[in-house]
Amino acid sequence: MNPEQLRGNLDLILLSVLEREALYGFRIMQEARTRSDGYFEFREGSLYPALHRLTLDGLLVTEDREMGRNGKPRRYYLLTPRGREVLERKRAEWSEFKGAVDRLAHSAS
Amino acid sequence: MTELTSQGHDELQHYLSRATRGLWGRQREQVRSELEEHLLEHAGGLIVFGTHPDEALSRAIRELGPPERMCSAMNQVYLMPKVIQFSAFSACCALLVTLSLSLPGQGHAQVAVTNLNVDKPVCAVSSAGMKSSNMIEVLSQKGNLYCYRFRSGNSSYYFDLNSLERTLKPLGVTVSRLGNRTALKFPDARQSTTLRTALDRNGDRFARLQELPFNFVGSGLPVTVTGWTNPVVQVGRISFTLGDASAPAPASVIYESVLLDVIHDLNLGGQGVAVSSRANPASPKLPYFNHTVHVDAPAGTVIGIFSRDARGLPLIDEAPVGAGGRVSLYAPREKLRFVTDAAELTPHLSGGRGQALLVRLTGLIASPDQRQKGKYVIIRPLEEASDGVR
Repeated sequence: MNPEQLRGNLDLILLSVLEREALYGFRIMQEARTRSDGYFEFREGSLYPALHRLTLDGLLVTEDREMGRNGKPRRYYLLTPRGREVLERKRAEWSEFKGAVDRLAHSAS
Repeated sequence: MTELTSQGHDELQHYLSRATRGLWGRQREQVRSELEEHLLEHAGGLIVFGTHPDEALSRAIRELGPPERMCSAMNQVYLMPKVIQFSAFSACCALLVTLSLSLPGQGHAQVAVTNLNVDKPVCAVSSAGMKSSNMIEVLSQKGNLYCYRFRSGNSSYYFDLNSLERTLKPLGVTVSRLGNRTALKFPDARQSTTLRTALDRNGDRFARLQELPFNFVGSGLPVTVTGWTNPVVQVGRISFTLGDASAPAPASVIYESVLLDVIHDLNLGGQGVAVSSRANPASPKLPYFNHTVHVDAPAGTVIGIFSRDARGLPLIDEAPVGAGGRVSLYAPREKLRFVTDAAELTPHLSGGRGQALLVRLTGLIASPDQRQKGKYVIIRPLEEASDGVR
């Protein structure tokens, strides 16, 4: 996919992945790939800065859970109520945008 | 845990160190741990499918992307609001060109300071013997040599030598390294001054903040410190700020070192000295009396106090003058009378009062002539006595 498209919608993708359940970094990446049928191939380096930014913005909170392979607790990300609100708003914006692009793209046909 | 060869381990640590450069304290530890876990899990998955552990790790690292990019992105998240119009990418370049936390608008370069807990035993010779107490735990004894550790942790303030180098180079200071020593040649200096690395954590090198006055004395230039939190250090005409709002650097650690020199200049040392260690968060509750003293000095001036306890042991403390010329200082005696001659400081009460001597610190912390006189002025407070409170 076009990396620019991914970058522009990274927050929506991450918030959507975390809507169902709390996950840690590596699993978030896998989940995004699986649920998009392999469409979203993250450039992994962009994942963690985005997660930390969303946490600082109060859209996510973190929780240390089971031990990971490095012998330290895995850091899970959970959606906050504010994160849910933002997700709903981004979803609505996306639908509106997608509808407009669809109408425009198909208007000639 | 994923088993790595020593080569893989080194590669991993090198990557993590570079990717988290510029982050601080617990924040850095958390990011480091998270990236480490990511890489080990990714590599673990590849190993299951038959990839050699080292190759699996290298591939996981490649797919996570260059450490400079990760470092840049993380610094944008955590530091950019404080570092206005500063290129986070250049901050993370392998050549360590920047990340000096420079604040051009304020006219001062900035050097990172951090509080680190070094849980290494301390060993000392004691002819009087040492026992475990509520402050220390004696771990071993061999003859008169005792090794012990502090129960509350042995935390100290350190300044980041990599950050110092990156900050000073653009200001015209020549930097060279030899082993664990860093030589700095300031533009107006006749000679280099040498700093020793006290602590090296995966390439992040630190020197003790309390040794800062001695670190620059070799330059032969006057070195001054102004301010109490995040002080400004000036070496010749070069100046930089220690720490920032998110990582305060306590100047009291530096002033305490200066007062330790002054105490020898006043001939008060000899059998040991006690310090109040105001800046050490691990310090137990201080068993001293707090004296609020009125002095004729502008707010912000740092005042030092010398006094003796009943055993004759000198105590030093220091604090900045606040509103109305008042400064709060610790002393081992509840009632004090102020003197201006160090010879009058005795372990004995006189008229029911112990004695104390006040000095005003000038800000000079390292003198070209290596004498102490220019660093302090003995002062007399506006009241000749003080009653302290616990």
